[in-house]
Amino acid sequence: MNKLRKLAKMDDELKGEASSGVDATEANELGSTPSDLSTKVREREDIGHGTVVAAHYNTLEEKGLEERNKSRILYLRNFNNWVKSMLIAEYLEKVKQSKTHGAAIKVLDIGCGKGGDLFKWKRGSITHLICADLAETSVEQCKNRYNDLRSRSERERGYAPLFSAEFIAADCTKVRLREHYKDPSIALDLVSCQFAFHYCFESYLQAECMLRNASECLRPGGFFIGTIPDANEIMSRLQKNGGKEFENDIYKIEFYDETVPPHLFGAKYNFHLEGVVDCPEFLVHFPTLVKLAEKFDLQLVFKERFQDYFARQKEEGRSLLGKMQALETYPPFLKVPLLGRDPEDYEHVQQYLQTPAGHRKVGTLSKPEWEAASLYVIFAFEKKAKQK
Amino acid sequence: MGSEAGETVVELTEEQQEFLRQCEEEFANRFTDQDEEFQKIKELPESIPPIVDPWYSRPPRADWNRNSNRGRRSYHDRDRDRDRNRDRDRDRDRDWQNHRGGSGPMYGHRYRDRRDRPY
Repeated sequence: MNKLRKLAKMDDELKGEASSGVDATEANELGSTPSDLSTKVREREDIGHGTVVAAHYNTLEEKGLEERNKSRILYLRNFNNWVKSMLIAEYLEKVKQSKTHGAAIKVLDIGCGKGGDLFKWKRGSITHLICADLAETSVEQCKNRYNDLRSRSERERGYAPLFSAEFIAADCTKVRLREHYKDPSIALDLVSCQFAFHYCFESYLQAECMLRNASECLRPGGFFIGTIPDANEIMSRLQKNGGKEFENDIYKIEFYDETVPPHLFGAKYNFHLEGVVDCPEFLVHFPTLVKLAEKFDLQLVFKERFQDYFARQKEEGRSLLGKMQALETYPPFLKVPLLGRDPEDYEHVQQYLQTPAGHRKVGTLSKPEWEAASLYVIFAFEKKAKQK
Repeated sequence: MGSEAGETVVELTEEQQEFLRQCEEEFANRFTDQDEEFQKIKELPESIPPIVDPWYSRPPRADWNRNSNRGRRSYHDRDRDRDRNRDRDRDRDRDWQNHRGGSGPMYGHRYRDRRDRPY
């Protein structure tokens, strides 16, 4: 099988989580006709920020499989991917339960990146997918990957048609997506925004625009799900570490200023994650998000930190954990070096294994990776019927 | 850059300004001792990394396809869709086998069993 396909496949499952976020090609970010929503907010300053983000994501290369495997945060990425798989499956199931058997399922993926979740949508047997992302290059790759997935599906015996898809390259924090849909009257069942929503908290208007995009075409009873950094966790670690920054071997979070309390919108920090991200992000004060979401008829139904989600779902998702290599094997297999520093990054396992152990192996994450994973939180909103 | 225009261009409606005022008032104590939600998180003990035991995952090596099913049967998830969607699942399963063939060993281990949900 050719290498490209292999790579694409790899990426289906090993999406660089952070790269699912805001990719940017600054020159193109608003290449299409902006809606009235976007005209006022867009300022040079914003473009400046977009440029930084763009510069980062555009230098990310399609890394070869080997290199990826060696990546220090391989298991963290796989773990995050596992969380997404579980979450998406859970909410697709809810959606299916609320519909008649065989009814069409329509999904919007905001911040689709290069299409890392395409495979999850395929597995979820959805009917139609709208992919939107800031970066034209990413959307292009996403499209190629989709076409590839499609042609592979067609060659299969017992061919079941792959979902149809449309692709939109636009800044979802500034452009009204509905104006770009093939069918603006579409009723979506699920909107997913993975590791990307927090970028909209750059400003109030961007947050509003994003929530409007998430909510506008969502049918009542449909869900808006996502994953974002947990502001409480970030601020807690920040305060414990002197108020300016905190870090470990694989990530660093550094605030631009020490305003107390941080701004509700535009509370900017730089997030560096080993080899994956190094760009500005924005704190999402969750109660503000909840309040703002209410304006768009979105009601919070679920919020859980990654560590709690894992604790709750690890049995149901156990075999998937293994298949996705979402945890690292400890002690390691022969000729498979640990990615973290041994012993200090694995003290928790060593303690655990001190009990009569024999030669068994367990699945775990190194301490630095877990500290990064546990920075995140999952949310789900349900669309309510229009009020007033 | 844009010093004269930067901030002033952003025009919020009355309603939006009012909303922001409300937030500022309601959440004035955010991330302080008076922020209960925040304090709860801050006082939690440090989270210990996951440990899954027993753990079955094969080493990332070139020859794992050969032992693909060894020792794993008892850990399959239930197949919730099995009866209802048997045909579709069978197709999916084929789909997997097709992909696997010749695709090289490096990802043949993933998602191979249809019983594994989700996706």
